[in-house]
Formats: sequence, structure tokens, C-alpha cells
Amino acid sequence: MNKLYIENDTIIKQELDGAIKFITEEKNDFFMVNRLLLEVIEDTELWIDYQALEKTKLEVSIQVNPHVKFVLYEVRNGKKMKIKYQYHLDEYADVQIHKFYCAKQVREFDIVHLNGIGASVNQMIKTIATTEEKYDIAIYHNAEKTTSRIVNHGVTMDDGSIIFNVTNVVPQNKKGCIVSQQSRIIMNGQKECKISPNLLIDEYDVEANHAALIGKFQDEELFYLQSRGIPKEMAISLLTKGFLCSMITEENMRKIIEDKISEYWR
Amino acid sequence: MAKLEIKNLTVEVAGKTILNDFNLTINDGEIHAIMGPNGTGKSTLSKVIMGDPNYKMLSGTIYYGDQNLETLTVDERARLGIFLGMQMPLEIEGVTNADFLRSALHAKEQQNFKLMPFIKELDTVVEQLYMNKDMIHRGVNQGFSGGERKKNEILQMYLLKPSFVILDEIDSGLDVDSLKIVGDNVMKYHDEKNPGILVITHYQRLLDYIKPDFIHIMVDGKIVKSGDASLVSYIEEHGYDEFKKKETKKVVSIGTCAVKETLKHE
Repeated sequence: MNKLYIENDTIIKQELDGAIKFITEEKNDFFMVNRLLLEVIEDTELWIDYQALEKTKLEVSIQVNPHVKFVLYEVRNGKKMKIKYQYHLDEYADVQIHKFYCAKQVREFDIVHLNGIGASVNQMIKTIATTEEKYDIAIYHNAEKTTSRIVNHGVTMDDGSIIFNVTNVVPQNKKGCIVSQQSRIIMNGQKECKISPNLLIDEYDVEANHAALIGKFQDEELFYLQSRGIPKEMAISLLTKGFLCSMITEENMRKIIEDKISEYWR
Repeated sequence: MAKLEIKNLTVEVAGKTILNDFNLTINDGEIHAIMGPNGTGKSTLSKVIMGDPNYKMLSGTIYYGDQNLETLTVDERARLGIFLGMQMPLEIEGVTNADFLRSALHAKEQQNFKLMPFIKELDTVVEQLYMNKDMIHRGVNQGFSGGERKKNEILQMYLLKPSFVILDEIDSGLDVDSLKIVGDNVMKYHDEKNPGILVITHYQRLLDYIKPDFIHIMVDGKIVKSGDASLVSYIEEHGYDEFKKKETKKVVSIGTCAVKETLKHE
């Protein structure tokens, strides 16, 4: 697997094979934004390990070439980060994105351009929020038969709050697109959370659905676990683990999530 | 090991009295079956014994040995040795059976919990219940058929080794073969550990395998008739009608032109 280790706004270590071309790393001193440009030319996987030790702004732009299957894993720690991801997918490019965050004060903007016919993106964000986090995700279906499936799962702690704004845009004549977004926030604190599912669809021939839920774990779930002798705190930890690890198949990422949950729910 | 003693129990759910001055004592090793029409409070009884916070005890006591259960949380009751096999076991997303059972046993046995004996026993019971071996790595009850869910309840019972077992309509959703497997395994457990057992059911078929010492007919939140196994055949033949309260018919006079006072309903 390809690997990138980023600290603040700089790549400190990279292990890339020929499947990913690292085009450039630009620094805009005025806006204090570092910009990384990557091109994915063959089927491959990339693991990004991101640590923000200080206030950081970063922009990552990823071009995925036609018929290429690309899987991106990102694990993020640290604080005060503003991050923008831009993805450009050519025809029949297939991108899977799995991200787990346990950072403080995150502001993220993801823009996905499905430019080629049949391009497909599956993005999954899992986060434990201890402070304010805001995610704006915009998917532009710029070609016919493009697919987007977005899953956002967040758990808040004490003073944590999460906002998920997810917008899908399907212009006229972009027929046969599939649009799906599902966001769910489990609140363990009192701060307000928000989910805005926006489906801006100007075409009839589209399959679209969304789900949004903010709340706590069901009483019935807790009762079931407790009825087997599991104390309430442990039951919540177990449910949190199930919630955040669901659909995560990559073993290393699963382990990182489990360890982080064990830290919070001892 | 201890006896379960319920005295003058009155329970309310959402403002409605479900159990009304209910009394029942179950000694060590005794098997009691409660039968009765739908909506009479049988499942409520099981939930109240287990401590479901949605059910409010208005009066009465439930003792298990010398322990007043009202002072204990759900998980404390479970660790005391009470087990509830549920009518509709929940599906819990992302939490594997292995994690769930390990957590439950760990909570019960603390430092004495040992992984290898757990795995060994698990394999034995899975085989004994004719369950699929990969179920242990699947989410709790996720994608399980009705029968698999009920077998999973019995599996949990075997591993947690309770001293008092409540089985709430454990026969629903079971085909004839699974019913025999479940029934035989409950009796096997009874022969090995001698727990008190409370079986809640609608049908005689379960009692072909689980042999109760006492049968109780429950109507309108209380036991209206108790007896031995012969009572089951009587119910199969005659139903519950004769045990239901007969509505008192009041004689009213219908007003005529000479009687100006209209009917008053109490």
C-alpha cells in the first residue's frame, strides 16, 4: 500500500509506487495553504497518516484516471485543521474513501467531480468529536451514469458538536445517476449537531436517497446488552465500536478506531 | 441458587396498568410456564423481572433470594444470575457476537475470564445447537433468521450460566426441528445446572420438550388459574375464554317520549 505521512501542512515521509504520481506540492504563503496534487494512474491504495500539531490549512487534489480503482484511507489526529479535498474522476474511475478522525476543531471541505461517464465514489467518514467539527461535502455529477455513496458517522463527546452538510448536484441531461447519502450522529454531549442533506437534482432519470439521524443509542439496544450483564458504560462503548467500525473492512483502520474508543470509554 | 418471589406486583406502562397485584414464587430447579391470551402482561412480567426502565413498578416486591431486585440495575440483575431469553432479540449493528459474548463474560467473571475455555465452550455449544460456525464473527443477530436468533439466545444462556432463566416466547419463529433443538437444549441445561425456569408461551408444542412442573394461566395482569401439565391440554382444547372476565351487562331502560331523562353512562 502507498503511504503518505503528513505533519501540519507538509509531507514528512512518502512511500509511493508508480501507481500514484506525486505531481507537486505548492505553498501559498499569502493564504498559508499548502497544496498537494496527486494523480492516480493505476489501480492502487493509499494510506494517509495525518498529524496536525498546530493550526493548519491543507488542500489535497487527487486526479483519478479512467478505469482506475483507487482506495484512500486516512487517519487524522491533532487540532485546528482546515482541509480541502478535491477529487476529479474520469470515466469509470472507482474511488473508495475511508476516513477516521479523532482531531480537535476540524473544518473540512470535500469536493468530488464525477467528470467521466460511469465514475463512482464511495466515501465514508467516521469521527469522534470532542470539539466543534464541520464537514461540507459536495458531489457534482458532471457525467451520465455516475454514482456517489456518502456515509458519515459521528459520535460526540462532552463539548463536541458535528455539522454534516452534504450536497449532491445532478444537472439536466445527466441521466442514470445514483445518489445516496446517509449521515448519522450519536450524541453523548449536549451541544447541538446538525445534518443538512441537500439533493439538487435537475433530471428525472436519477435514483436518489438520503438518510439523516441525530440521537442517542436506542434504549432497547442498551437493555439487550445490559441484560447480559454488561454495565451501561461498557454497553455504550460496545455500541460505539459497532457504530464506528461498521463497514470498515481494513484491519489496521479498524484497530485504530477500536483503540481510540477504548481510550474514551475505559 | 435462590428462589424468585414476586409479591403483589402492580406495574404500569405509559399510564396503563399491565400487571395487577401479581404473585408468583419459583423455587430452585422448578420449571413454571405462563400461558395466556395476547396483551395480558406476560412479556411485561419478563421485562420487569429483568429491570427494563420503561416499566414502572407501582407497588409490590420482586426478590431473588434475599436480594430485592428493585434496587438493582439491569446488568446487576444479570450478573446476579438472571437471564432473559427475549421474544424478539435485537439486531445490533457492527457488534460481533464474539465481542458481545466476550464483553458479557468479562463483565461477569472479571479477572477469572479466560479466552481459551470460552472459545472451546463456544464451539461445543454452537455444534450442540446446530448453528453455523461463522455466526460468531457476524454482528449480533444481524441477518439471522427468526430461528437463528432464538438459538443465539440459548447459546448466550449456556455461556453465561444463569441460575434463573426466563424464556419469553422462545418458540416463536422456530420450525419443528429448531423447536426440538431449542427445547432439548433448555432441558439439558436444566438437568446440568438446575436453574429455576419461567417459560412464557402461547402453545403446547414448546411444552412437549420443556416439561414444566407448574402451569399458570394469566389474564388481565394476574394469574387466574394454576395447575400441572394437564392444564395445557385443557387450554389447547377450550382456549382462554372461560378465564377471561365476563363483561357485566347492565340493564338499562330505553327512554320513551314519556321519559325525558336520557341514558347516563357510568
